[in-house]
Amino acid sequence: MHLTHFLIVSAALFCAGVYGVLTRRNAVAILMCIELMLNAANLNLIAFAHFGDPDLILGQAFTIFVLTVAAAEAAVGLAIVLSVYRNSKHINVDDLHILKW
Amino acid sequence: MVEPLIPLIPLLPFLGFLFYVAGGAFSSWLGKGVRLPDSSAYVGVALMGVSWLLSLFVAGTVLLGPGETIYRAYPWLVIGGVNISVGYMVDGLTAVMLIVVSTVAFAVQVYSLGYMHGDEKKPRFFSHLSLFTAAMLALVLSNTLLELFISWEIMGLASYLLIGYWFEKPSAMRAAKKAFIVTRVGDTFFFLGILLLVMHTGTTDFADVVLGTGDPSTRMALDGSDARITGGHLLFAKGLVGTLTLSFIALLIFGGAVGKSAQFPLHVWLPDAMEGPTPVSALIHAATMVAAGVYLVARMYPVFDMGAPVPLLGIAFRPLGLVALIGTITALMASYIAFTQNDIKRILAFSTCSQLGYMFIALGCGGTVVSEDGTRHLLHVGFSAALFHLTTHAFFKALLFLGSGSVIHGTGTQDIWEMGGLRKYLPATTLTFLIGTLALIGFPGLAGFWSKDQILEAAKEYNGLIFLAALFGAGMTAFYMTRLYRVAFCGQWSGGPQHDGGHGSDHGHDHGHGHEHVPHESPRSMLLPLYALTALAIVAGFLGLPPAIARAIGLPEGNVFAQWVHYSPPQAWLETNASGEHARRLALPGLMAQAPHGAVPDHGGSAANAPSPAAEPAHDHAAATATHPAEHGSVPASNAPSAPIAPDHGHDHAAATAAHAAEHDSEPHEPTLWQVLELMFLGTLAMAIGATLAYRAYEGRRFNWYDGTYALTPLESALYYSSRNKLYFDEIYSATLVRGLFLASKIARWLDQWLIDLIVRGTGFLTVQIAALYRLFDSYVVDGLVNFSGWICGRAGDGLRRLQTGQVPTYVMVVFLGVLAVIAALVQGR
Repeated sequence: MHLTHFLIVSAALFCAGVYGVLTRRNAVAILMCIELMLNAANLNLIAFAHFGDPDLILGQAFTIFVLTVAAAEAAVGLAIVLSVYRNSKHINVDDLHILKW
Repeated sequence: MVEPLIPLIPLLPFLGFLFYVAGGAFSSWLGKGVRLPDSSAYVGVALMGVSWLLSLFVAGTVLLGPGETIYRAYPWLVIGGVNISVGYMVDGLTAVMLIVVSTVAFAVQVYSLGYMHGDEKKPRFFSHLSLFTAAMLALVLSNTLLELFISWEIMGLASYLLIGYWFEKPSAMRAAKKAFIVTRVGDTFFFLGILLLVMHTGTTDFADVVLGTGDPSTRMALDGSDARITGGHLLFAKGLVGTLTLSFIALLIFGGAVGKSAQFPLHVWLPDAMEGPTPVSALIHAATMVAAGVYLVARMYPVFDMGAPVPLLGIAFRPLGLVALIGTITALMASYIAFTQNDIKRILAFSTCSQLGYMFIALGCGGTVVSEDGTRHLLHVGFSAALFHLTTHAFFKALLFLGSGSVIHGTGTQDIWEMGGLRKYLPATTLTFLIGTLALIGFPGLAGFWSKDQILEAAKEYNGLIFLAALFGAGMTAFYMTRLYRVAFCGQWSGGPQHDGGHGSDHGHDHGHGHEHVPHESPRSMLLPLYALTALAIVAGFLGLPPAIARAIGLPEGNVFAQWVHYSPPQAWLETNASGEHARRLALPGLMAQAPHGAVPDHGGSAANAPSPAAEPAHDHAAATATHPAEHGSVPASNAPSAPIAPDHGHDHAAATAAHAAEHDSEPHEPTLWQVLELMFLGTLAMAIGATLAYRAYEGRRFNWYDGTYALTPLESALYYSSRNKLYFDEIYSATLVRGLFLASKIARWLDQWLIDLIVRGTGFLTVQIAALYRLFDSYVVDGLVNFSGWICGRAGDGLRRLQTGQVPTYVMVVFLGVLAVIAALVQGR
């Protein structure tokens, strides 16, 4: 196993996330894709930590934080989506114009 | 000891003035129509009386004392390098003027108590009179030219107010305005002269300009140079002020004197000034104010004397020569006009003009002249003769005017042809008037005789032509005064005013005396001043008794007056030899810097060469101080044989001061008894001829005023009408100056309307047009730019807002692309 393999997986995961964010119209799907991107980053962190200085667990620790924040973010995001839904009976982001001029 | 009293002299009458002003204001505050009571007049008279006593005391102390000048100056203004002080100065000249002014003023005020009786504006009259007296006394006490000028102007104001006292009469109103404006012409010159003097010397103090005793440390010329380098006299300091400049200063100041003293060509106001009450005419327009011009020239004598000859019409006149010339013209002209005047006061007014002319003649015949050998010597008679004549004239002319007032009071007319035979009705007035007349025409023994004689002596010493003119003028004076006396006082009473209004008498105007048929004598308050002035008109002349006569009748000294009032130029000035250019002018005839008859070249200006033994002793005492080449140069050759009388006299007061020494230097110059008698004979002869002619001509009222019943020859007609119409001066002035002024103001108005207004309106119009153009620019260019930028912003905002779709994916897309771009840039940059 080599660091490069991890990075390739991580990049693929990130690109899948970005693609999802840019193309999906469902807000929940977008949130999920964001989770994908975050996890890609987490994977990167762990990989670097593992191949860099195995004795230190800085990357692992950071990942735990990211997971925590991601959980919170998901909660807030889902809450927003829920309230949007209550307002407009749908969660299609293309049709959400309320932030527009 | 006397010094604290001096300021009181003018202040007391001024206090009187303030009293009337405050009292009048208080009365009208008390209620409408409340006035100061008539008895308030006594306040002014009482204050004047105290002032008179103080004047006599101060003047007496100075005149009889050691001959020192009281001079006190207090700093007032310091402007740049110019120190202006206020204060007072009493020397012999001032002392004599003090006596004259305060005496006549007091007499006139007492007289006015009777004359103005019943006049409802009496307090106003006395307030003006007090103001005038205060100003005149301040004038003679002034220690700077500026202070003198201020008093001078206040006097002019008082004169204006008093001439226009009966302001409800249009003629009085006009006369007041005329007097004020005409004298203002002269005063403008006077002030320019003061400015010029200050410009060059930085001072107007008499201590510097006249006495030469000022403190050099405080007096600097404006250019910073020491004002008093040589000779102890400011004006004499080399390079400080040019002698020609000095002449201009002198002539400008003389302009003021010409206006105030009613000399040709500014004499026209004086006859009209007779519209004022007669006491005013006596005080202001005969005795004191008009004599202020003479006083001014006398006060500024060093300036006049030291000025260089001024080229005029091809002749170089020394400033004093011009003074003499103007005096001569006035003396003759005014006498000529007086021949045919019918108004008693106007005759006296022209007589005043003429006598003032005499004083200027005398002033002009004094000072120093340069003889042919280039030495300078003093003509010692002129200066004191002028002031002597001023003194005697003040007394007898005030007497004549007060007498005429008494006549007017008694008859209700001013036309001498409506009088006649007053001898019977007004005995006291007639007697005093007769003595005044005799004093004026120079009847031997009376005041005018001695003073006129001195003037003739001065004129003879200076210039033969002026001497002849003065002699001729004396005859003319006798003629018109005899005519006046003959017509008004002799013969039969002609019945008073023939017509109302036309020849309105000032008195009848207010009293309604005009219709009384028999003249009546005046009250005692009017007669007492007449008696006092009569006494003065008799005795005043003996102050100027010629020394030769005084010795002949056994008096220790003569001509006390000349010892009191004399001009002693700085020694250094006398010792100046005139440069070549001065000497060249001597070759010209006339009034220029010319030597008198006695300047024979062989005298050579040296004591050793002097042929006269008389010159030696006089030289002895003078030599102690300095050498005086001038005095010997001036010994008349004809004097030599009989001169030994002179030195005796000269030694009598040889001690005294340096100022006196100058006087004694010229003692050998003095005419002998025979010369004096010869001169007196000539003067008396002229007087007798004039008087006899007039007495014969108007005997039995043969010649009335010309009534057109018989034909005059053209020459007679020209002479008669030119005199009758005062040589048409008023007509000429109104045709040229007044008309010219109106024309000029019309032209100015036209220019104003058509040129200035055009420019102003044009400017306004142009401004509006330019503003309209600018408005276009503003609304299209400036506003356009502003609006355009706003529009651009609007359009830009319109476009840009479309970028904000509100759709999160779009934003994220942009962010992603941005990140990609950043990454690309980083990769590229590596």
